[in-house]
Amino acid sequence: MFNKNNFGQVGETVTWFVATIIIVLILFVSVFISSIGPWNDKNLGFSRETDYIASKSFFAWLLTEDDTENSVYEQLREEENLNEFNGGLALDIFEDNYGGEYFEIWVGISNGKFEFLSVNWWTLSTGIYNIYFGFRPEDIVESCRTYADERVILDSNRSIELILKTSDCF
Amino acid sequence: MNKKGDKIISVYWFVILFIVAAAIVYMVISFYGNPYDVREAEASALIDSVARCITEGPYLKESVLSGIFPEDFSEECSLNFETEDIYGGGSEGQYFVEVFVYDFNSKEEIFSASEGNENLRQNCGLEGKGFPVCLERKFYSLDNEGGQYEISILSIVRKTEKNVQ
Repeated sequence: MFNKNNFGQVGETVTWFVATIIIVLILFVSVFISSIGPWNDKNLGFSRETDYIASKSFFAWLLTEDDTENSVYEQLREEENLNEFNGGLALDIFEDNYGGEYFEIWVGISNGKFEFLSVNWWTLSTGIYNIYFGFRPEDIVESCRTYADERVILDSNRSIELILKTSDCF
Repeated sequence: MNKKGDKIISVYWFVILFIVAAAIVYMVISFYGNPYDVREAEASALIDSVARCITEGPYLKESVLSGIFPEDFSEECSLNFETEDIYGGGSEGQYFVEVFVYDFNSKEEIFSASEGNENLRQNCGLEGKGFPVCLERKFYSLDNEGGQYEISILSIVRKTEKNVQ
């Protein structure tokens, strides 16, 4: 006569054994995932809200004089947009030196008026298109600071602006 | 009533509890035990510091262009490259910084200076743990007479013992 109790005990032991194997496997997978996951990347990258080096270049660009000893700042005050001298120089300075570091670079004249989009979302109105840098990026909002910028007032309505975007906001 | 069986199961549960607890402790130590790597920020701060030292606003210092700016500019720029003894190697420095000034139009080199451990330069461009972080940035500047210049600053930070595991 079979001892049914023995079969039951063996069956229950196998159950416990399999359960132990499963628990250990789950633990191994958890440990493995925790050690290779992206959260282990402790490289403290940083995004700039101001760029001291680029600002230096910006102010030096504004003070650069052409053959008639007219500075870029004076040219921008007198003219409506960037011209061949200051626009070409801006491309040489900002695209060549910072194009690899930043997602998008824009230098141009903006009209300096703040526009209300919605609660907590303010933006400076779109700037004037120029053939050197194109249209001013639209998603430049104070509440989503993914850019470094520098701005110098030309007159009561206009500013000359440098925008260095690190990523898209929207 | 299988009292012997109950005892075995109790021991078994404690063993499982211990294994799970050990795994959790290992995962927590594995995550929090890795240091943050701040060397890129450190290299950027070093470049800003040197740029501030060789210029006055948008203009290059006269001493840089006239050649009297000291080649040993760590004192001039208040740079302190001393580090803790943890790095061993005694005299080997953990930092290197190099400055070049070029004429903006002709790209002719006008001034150059370097400070720190020159041996770190050969590891630039190599990726992987244990290599130093290299950062090079350029900016545009003028002199008082309207001359145009491009300044390039290379900054290298090693300090792998404290930033990489």
